[in-house]
Amino acid sequence: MFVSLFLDWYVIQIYDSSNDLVAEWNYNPITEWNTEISNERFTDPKDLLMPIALNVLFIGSVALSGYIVLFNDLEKIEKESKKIRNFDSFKLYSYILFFLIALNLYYIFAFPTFYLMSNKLYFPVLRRENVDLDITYYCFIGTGYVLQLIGFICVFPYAIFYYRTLEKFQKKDHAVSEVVRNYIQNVQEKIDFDKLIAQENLKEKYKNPKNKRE
Amino acid sequence: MEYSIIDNKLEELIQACTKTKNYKKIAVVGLMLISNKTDEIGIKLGLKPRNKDDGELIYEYMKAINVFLETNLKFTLFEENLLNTTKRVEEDFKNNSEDISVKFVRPIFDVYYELRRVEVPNLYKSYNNLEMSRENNNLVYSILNSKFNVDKSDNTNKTKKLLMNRLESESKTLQSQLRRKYDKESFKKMLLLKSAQSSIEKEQDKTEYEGILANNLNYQSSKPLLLGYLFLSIFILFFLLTTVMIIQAMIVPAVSLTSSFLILVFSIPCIISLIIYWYNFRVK
Repeated sequence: MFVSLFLDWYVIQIYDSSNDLVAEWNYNPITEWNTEISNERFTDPKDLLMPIALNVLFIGSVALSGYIVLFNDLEKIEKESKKIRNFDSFKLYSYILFFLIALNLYYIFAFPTFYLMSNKLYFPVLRRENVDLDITYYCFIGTGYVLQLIGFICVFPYAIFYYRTLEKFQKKDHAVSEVVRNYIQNVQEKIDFDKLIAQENLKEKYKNPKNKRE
Repeated sequence: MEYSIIDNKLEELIQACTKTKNYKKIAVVGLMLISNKTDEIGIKLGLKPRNKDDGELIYEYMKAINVFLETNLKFTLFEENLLNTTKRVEEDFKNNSEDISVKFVRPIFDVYYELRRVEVPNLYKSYNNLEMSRENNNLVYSILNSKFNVDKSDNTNKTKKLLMNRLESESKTLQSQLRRKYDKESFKKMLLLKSAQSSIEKEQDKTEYEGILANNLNYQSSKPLLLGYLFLSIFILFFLLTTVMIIQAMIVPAVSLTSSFLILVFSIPCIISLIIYWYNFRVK
């Protein structure tokens, strides 16, 4: 998903009658339209104006999700450090994964619906011949968008399973009984048997005149 | 401290005190041991410890424990005889603390050893699910747990009712058993039954596990669900793509033929994945 932001999401190509590529524009959500083969005969496509803030949020949530998968996977983390005591602290991670899915779904749905169609660009692929100009247009989605689709199929099951595990399982909390035991110990009156016995022994020792002389 | 250590130390102390005829010390230690034991029982049951600062007597605390158990579990822990002896011992000590004889010391240890026989299972965790009544007992409180009072939801499920009925009758049998004679295992079972009843009422179905999650059988058996979620994600994805195509067909009629073909192409995996998910992985 992270890589997809730096790849092309949409491509427009124009071929002439001899099937040579005469113009090409590639759309990327960060850099907008780029072209390496331009032609004065054709005007550049309009900017799609996808909000940069969304891209920033997307990059942030992809990075956080990567951190979750690598360092806070419920199975792995327990095998390595057994630090799971309470699953509630992991809930935030599942919400981050859901947020990533929400953004991912937004891109999948909104990119063709709100940005491409409103600019008369067709989804997912279109070939149109212009007999007057003797050219052929090709419009199609790029690898970036395809990676978004694949990303959704990879992340969605993981996120749902992660959340379900948190909802369905909880570790037996031995810490609670430990706290109760400590609480009982704190409440109970301390009896220093050794001190009490020593006091009585001393009393006995000094009461006996024989011992006093020693 | 373990009972065997306490017994050894107590024996040594009694021997030393007998030599010096300091029976008061034996009496004080004995009362402290009784106080500690009753506190332990009370706390394990979820009660406040005895309020020593306000002069709450041990037998009063024992009575409070009885009231609490009678209200919630319909049986009492301490017999009347034991309560009376404790009351007599405490009052005698209060009135004649300067003149303590061997005769006075003996019943203290009778009470103490009787209390030691009352083993309350440390089932604190069970209280997470227990709904203990606070009526008639303002001592009840949750030491650590805020889940003590959860509103019960209306339950109309017949299976649940049947199960609840069965649990109720088992719990009544245990109650009458406990009324006749206290026994730790029955008490433990009783608390677990109560916990199960509350769990059913609250529909709390979290699976508790010990050790490593990956080794848990329930977790292992839930792993195929990942594949199910994969089919679900394929369904959602193709459903979205189909929707996009439908919108495109409506907005741009010029490409509606191509769009219709793509709607068909996208809806096939969409339907197939939904069927696979629905019949094989749907969580009932």
